[in-house]
Amino acid sequence: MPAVIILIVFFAIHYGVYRTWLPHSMMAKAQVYHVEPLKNMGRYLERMLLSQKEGLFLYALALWGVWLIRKNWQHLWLVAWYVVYHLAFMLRAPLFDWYLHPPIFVVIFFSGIAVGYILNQFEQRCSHRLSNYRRVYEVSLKALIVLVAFIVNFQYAKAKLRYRIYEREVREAAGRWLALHTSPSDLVFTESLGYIGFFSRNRFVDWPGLVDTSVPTLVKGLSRIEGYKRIIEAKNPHYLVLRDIEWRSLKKAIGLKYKIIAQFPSPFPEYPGYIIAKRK
Amino acid sequence: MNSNPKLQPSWFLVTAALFYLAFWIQTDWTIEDGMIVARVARNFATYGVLSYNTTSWVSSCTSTLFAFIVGLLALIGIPPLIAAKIIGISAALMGGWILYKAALRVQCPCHASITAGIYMLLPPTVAYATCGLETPFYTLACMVALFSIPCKSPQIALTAGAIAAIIRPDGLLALLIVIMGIWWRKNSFACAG
Repeated sequence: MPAVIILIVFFAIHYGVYRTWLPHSMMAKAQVYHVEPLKNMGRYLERMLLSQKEGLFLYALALWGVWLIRKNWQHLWLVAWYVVYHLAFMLRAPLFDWYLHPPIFVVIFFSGIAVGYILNQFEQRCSHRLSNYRRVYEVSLKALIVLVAFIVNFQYAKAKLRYRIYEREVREAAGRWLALHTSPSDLVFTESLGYIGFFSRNRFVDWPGLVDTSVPTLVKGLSRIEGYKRIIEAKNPHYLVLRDIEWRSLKKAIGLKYKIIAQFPSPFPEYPGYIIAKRK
Repeated sequence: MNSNPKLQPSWFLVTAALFYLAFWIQTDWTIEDGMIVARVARNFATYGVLSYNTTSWVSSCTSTLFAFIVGLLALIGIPPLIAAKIIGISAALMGGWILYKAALRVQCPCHASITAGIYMLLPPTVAYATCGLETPFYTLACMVALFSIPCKSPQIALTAGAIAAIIRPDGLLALLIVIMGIWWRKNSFACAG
């Protein structure tokens, strides 16, 4: 009963406030991102399994863990959810890394069972010797985990720090530029609503239309760049904040109407720089 | 292993909390979409509008509920980015605790704490705890829902499943699995009886 009340109250309030049952952002993405199930499945599995190859042994351990407790059916509902979750995302949703994270606890739960089995075997064989050093053994195990975690997290943090430097010098800088040089009532078009939007105070319109309910229908069936053109024509924004590659693709169509007034080159070659163009 | 189960979680909870804080301080990483949540929450705290643009009400975040909670914390003076990360870290720590409790059903306390420790110190868990998105909060709700299926009372599992569904619409999948699990359990007990 509480579950039904929670669902009814939340969705009723959501509908009352936003006039949509589901988040508009979700519907906008669903309308605009063209997901080819088979292609998406391949990309999804590749990202899930091969982007961190060193994590593959955890999947192998997890399979073994599932086998070890196969008779305990109550835990197999975790496996059912894991499969349904990934299938739903790989067949329909556009691929963003953060969708991959939630089910990881299932992998670790089952791989933990396999690790526990290995440790049990070891402890039984060495029970005579371990009986005097049980405390030392436990502390050493945990220290080993912390040490390995420290090494891998250090590498991971270095990659994220690089990302942060990029954001600070490019998208955050573009947002701060808008905050300094434009009026809050000026309309800005961009695809990257996060850092740029947070560090500025302008009104925004975006592709695929997360913040404007009229945009998804406007750009439905169009390619990304065609969609940009349609939004710019229809909404006539005062400023555009675009990746340099997007600007190059749009220049022919809108170059007469807009001119670049600020540039934010990327400190790293693998990430794009941004430009701000103003309506003439 | 004859370890005190009450003391076992302390090592991984303390270590994970330190890792999360160190990662936050070291990288100051927030995911691009986390900044959208932060702007929506800031608009709610400043203008009373839970929306990206203050001129219209549009649910621009995948998790309106998460943006609302961050907005409430922003309303009492906690900057939205910090509020989102505090929720993330708290949810990730609670998630580790839930995983430990679940692992205790099939493992000794020492091994269960190792399972929880591996999960909590995994680089993506550390990073997503401080990413500014609803991910750890949603994961926690799914964990509670799914690990509660074997419990005697189905209420906890169903309520957590419903919470997962209102955090993110795909949480309905967790709720669906919970309903099937409870139904299966009831029927198998009925057959056994």
